[in-house]
Amino acid sequence: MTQLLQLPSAEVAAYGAHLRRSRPSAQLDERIALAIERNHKERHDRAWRKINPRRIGPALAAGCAAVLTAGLILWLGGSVQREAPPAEVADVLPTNPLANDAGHDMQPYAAPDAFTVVPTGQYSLWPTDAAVFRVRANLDTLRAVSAALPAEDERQYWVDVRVANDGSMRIVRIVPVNE
Amino acid sequence: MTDPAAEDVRLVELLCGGDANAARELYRRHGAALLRFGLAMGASRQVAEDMVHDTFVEFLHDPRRFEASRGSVAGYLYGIARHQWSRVARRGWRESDEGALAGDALRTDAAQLSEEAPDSEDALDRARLVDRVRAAVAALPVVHREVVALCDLEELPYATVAQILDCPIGTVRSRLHRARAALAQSLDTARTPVAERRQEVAANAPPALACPETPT
Repeated sequence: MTQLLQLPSAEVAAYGAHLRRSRPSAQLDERIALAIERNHKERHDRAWRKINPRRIGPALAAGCAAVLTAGLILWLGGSVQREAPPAEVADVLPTNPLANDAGHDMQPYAAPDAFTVVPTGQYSLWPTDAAVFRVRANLDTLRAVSAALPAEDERQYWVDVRVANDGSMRIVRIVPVNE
Repeated sequence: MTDPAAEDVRLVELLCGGDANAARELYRRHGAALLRFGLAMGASRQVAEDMVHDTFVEFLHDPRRFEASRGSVAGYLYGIARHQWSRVARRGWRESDEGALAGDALRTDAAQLSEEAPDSEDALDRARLVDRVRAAVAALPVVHREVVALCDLEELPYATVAQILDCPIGTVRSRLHRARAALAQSLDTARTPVAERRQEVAANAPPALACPETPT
């Protein structure tokens, strides 16, 4: 490896000492002081320009628009939430509302696939499009249907009656009770 | 005692916060060194002062560009000064200002001489010597002149110089080696008898470069 030449020599050292005596002139000091003042003032102006009244208008308008948009979104979200059925209601809906009637031995209702009860969710006072009721019945209209004491020759049926929220009603299915 | 480099960083932080006094303090600390760098690069006093001024203006414009993790404040300022120097050199001041440079330098030395020791032969010799070294340094290529100015004249550590020049320390060392060799050769050549040298200068140099008559 090449060894670094040994300098500064006495001559270079003398030149270095001569340079070290150099000081900025009073003019340069003054120019720098002016530059610092100017820079300080510019910074101050820049900081003030950031909140220039001319820029406040558009910024305020943008802020208002943002607040209004956010408010509208929150209001719409809230109203949709109010109109949707609560989760517990939705859980109950597929079951027959008559199933819990005291003294009634009806089985829990399982809606047929083709007539799945769908919660409407919105814009309806009635929480469903339709409800299906299961009614115990027989073919003899002169006798009352009794689940506790069926007659020997009596054949009883489950009659699924669909009642829509527009008031229409139709029989969906009839199945014998013992099947 | 506070570390000057850490104190510099603190001053830059204050400057970023809008403290004008921090800028004044930074100039007080580094202004003279930047001026010396400009003079060592061969600029006339006026050009060197312009360079210092422009360096500080650029630094003040956006002090947030300084990153303490990348080096010292002094190194950062030298880096800006170096770029200012490049701009000055590109503008070709040397061609138009060379006469002013030499004349300026001689006037400075003469003024110092008359102040320090009006009748001293030693002082006169010293002025000649300074002039000779200045000319030898100024004759070096810019990359060599930079390392001589920073390493030998400003006596900065190699690591700082490497940061300023944005190159590895090995490059600084190799450049310095070549620069010193060239400088030694140039100074050897210049150590000719005064009378011969004066005749040579009078024959070759433009009027502004001619040495003033000295008492024998």
